[in-house]
Amino acid sequence: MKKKFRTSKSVPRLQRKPGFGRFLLGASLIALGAQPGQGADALTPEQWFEGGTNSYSNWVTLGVGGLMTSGDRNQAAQGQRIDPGAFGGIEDLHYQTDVAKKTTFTLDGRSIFDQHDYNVILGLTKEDVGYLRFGFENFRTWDSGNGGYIPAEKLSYSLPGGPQALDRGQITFEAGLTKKDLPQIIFKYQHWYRNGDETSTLWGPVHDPNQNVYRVYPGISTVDESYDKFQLDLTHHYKEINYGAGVSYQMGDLNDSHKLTFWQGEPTQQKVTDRQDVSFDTLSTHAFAESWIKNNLFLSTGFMYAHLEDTFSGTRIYGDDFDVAYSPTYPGLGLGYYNLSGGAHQNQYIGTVNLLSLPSKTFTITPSIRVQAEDWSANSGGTGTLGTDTQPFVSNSGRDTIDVTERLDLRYTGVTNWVFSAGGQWTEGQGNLNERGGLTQINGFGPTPVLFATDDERFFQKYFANARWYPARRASVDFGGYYKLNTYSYNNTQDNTPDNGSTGNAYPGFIVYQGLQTWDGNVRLTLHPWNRVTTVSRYEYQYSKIWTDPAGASGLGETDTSKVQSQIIGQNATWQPLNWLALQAGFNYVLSTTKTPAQNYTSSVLNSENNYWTFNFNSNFVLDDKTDLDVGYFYYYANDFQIPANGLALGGGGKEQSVTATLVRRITQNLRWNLKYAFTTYDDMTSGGHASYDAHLIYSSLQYRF
Amino acid sequence: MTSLPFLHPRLPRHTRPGLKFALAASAAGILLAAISCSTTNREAVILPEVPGAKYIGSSECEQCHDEIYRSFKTADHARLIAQGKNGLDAGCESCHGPCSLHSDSGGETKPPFSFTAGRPQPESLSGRFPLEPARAVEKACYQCHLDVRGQFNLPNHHPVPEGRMSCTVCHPPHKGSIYAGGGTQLLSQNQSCLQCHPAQQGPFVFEHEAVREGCTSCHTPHGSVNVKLLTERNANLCLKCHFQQVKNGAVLIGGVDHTSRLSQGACWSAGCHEAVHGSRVSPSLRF
Repeated sequence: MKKKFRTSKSVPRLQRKPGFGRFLLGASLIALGAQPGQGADALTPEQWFEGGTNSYSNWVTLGVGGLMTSGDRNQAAQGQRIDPGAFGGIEDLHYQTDVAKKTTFTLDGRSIFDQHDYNVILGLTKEDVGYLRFGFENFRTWDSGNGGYIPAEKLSYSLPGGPQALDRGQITFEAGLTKKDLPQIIFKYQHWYRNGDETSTLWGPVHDPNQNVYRVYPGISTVDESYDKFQLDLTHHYKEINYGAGVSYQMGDLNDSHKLTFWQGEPTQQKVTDRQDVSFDTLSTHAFAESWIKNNLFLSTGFMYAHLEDTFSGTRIYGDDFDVAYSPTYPGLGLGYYNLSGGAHQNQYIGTVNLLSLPSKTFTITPSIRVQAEDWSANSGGTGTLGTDTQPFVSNSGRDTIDVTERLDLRYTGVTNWVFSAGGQWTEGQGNLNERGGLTQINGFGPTPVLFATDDERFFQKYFANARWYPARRASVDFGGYYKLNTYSYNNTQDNTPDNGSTGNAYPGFIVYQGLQTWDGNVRLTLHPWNRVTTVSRYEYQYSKIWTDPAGASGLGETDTSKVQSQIIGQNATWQPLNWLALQAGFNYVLSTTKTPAQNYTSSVLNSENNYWTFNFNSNFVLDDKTDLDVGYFYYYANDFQIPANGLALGGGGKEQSVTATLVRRITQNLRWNLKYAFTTYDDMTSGGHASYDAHLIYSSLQYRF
Repeated sequence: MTSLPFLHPRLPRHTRPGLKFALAASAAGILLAAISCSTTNREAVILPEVPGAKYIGSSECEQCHDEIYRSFKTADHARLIAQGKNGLDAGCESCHGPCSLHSDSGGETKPPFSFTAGRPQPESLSGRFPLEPARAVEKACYQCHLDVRGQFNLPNHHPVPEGRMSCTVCHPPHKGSIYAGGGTQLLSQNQSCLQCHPAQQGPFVFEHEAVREGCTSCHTPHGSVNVKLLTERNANLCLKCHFQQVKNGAVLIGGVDHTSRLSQGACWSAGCHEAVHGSRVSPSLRF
């Protein structure tokens, strides 16, 4: 299929003799501040993309390449999201054709072997009648299998073998009836899945050479999750009102487990498998109506009801290996359980009303309200274990809540080249929670079951304001910010865990009040100071505080439990100094600290630092009529891993640099060759260098358009 | 303890890449030099700016896209549109780019950012490695949301740069709130996350109250320097809410002495409170 596009005559054509000499000349002109060259007719976007005067609707891109690493290969797979080694296949495929009058068939796909990267979408669309669509998608991510690092002894831990891999994907089918003047009906089926292994942040204990205990040996999360979802939506426009209704039914199975190794390599080594299998069904229905009642008045209302049921089973078993059956004679080193069974159900009712009004052309006011009522209950039972001793346990809980959220949005554009917007949102909520039971003590070890009831009240407030000013064409200034305060009050009417700390278990009825407060302010400046130069600058400041009041019996007073302060600076600049050269650069600099009182009390926990730099630079050279060259550089730096005097190095400390070069050659009108090379080096400081790597990527693709 | 099979002493960093960088830069230069001379009609382009395309204002879009244009009045991004000529390019063309060619051609020529298959995509604004999908949407968003671009460039991020997700999955741009759930919408805020993370939805027998505040209490949605998109990687993730004071020389968390346990790792990774999203067996979220 071949389309011919009109050629705009609004921009002159560029005539020049590029090449390396021209590159040097261009660089000199840049240095001298020369203006971009002028030529004759320019090309439409499609023509620019094609490198000629014709455009094609279909294409297939075949690619082959490889990632070569040195250092921590598994970390390279995780960080670059490519499994080292060779790979290739169909990078991109698009095919469309008219199969009948007003009926189009489309095929889109991607299939990269050895990366488990597959995607196919088939579509059949009949204009003004409807469509059918089928899709399949699978992609894989990798985890390094690395655990913790003990800085005092410079020891790190990782799992043997290659990277852990987790596949995600879905199969979808969708059919839609979109005939005018008739109700639109859309049916969707989705089979969603996620399975494989990933590195857990739950770690197993080891002794260091000084016999100190640290939790550092990497754990494994084995994931096997899937659900099937059937959804039917109906919408109809009748007498200026859009009506809609829908129902969905979802049924799923979640068979997940954590696998931890206790005392790796020591005589007492044990494997622990904590497994829970959940089957759930969800039925959800919703209906809505919306209408522009007048040209300046838009009303929308909606209602949703959802019901969830689940049943579950589970075990936490110690053994010589993972996934073994419980043995009453095996001397497990910690608390466990088997024969867990139970279930839960949940009802949710939600109603909303939104009214958008324009009392004048320049003023918009939108009040809205949302009411949500929810109730759930859950129960479980099983047999707790400690070594060869067992103890049955039962537990149940229930909760009812109601939340009312009101919101008001205002927008004013009555001042030329200015937009002002502001608003607020408030939520008042009430609820109660009852909890009973839980694992029982075995031989005096472990927490006691709870008997707990509480009534809670929630009040959330948020206020926001923004102003946007256009001082000149293509220039804007944004000012904005918000203030948020969420408070929780608890009246613990029943609590068998004394709050004075006498039993070693003050929760759940320990906190009686908690407040979460955030201040945020930000500004953004967009400028076009010169022709073909664009800059965007952004700064944001955020301060959050959480404070907590424990029960009076604790003898402790209200405390600021944390303060989080962040500053985010972003800058981007694009410049096209010459018609055949485009440059872009940007950076982000973030300073973020979470302070808790813990640092004042113990040398084991330091304040959290989440500071980082990112910088990227890209340049695009049009070398001749058929050839482009892109050269880029990327930099990331975070020096946030903490080395407490008596504890573990935790946090994100790393430095990454990448250079990339991409050569694009249009061999013929419809054949394009692409060659990419990239080199990246990553220095992982949190692991003391164990997870560092270098990686080279070479990738070549050939695109045929037709 | 010295013969553990997977326990390594600190190794010297493998060969550093200064020389390799120099080689890579040289390779780029050689590639430049290798290109032969010829006449060109083409220009280098940084989207959304394309040769010949001019901004025409959102009101022009209404002529063909009246339904979207009308709905857009309810959208959060409608606050980009101001009276006056200076802000002519703000609105539809903020994300789709200058649309004069699109309008002049009666829709046949797509806008610079049309988000449909086969459109030219820039290498610019890209992230870390150059194997990006050809049909990325997020680059239009990065034009203004620089902080989000930075977050997606971090080592731990949702797979948006890889094309597995799109910004518009969680941020519908054309109508209503820019967040897919929350506020006064039918869907709650957490529902966006639970579509792909159903194991965290509960209800559990013993819930973790932090989930009421939302997934973002502990996870930053775009990207983080920490694994699992955690806002903090050490015990402060929990301690920022959980009460801590010193009494008789002991660090009390929840009224319980945690002095010796804090050195073993973070509260959950240290094995004491593994069930961070809720538990079916333990009120203290032991597992």
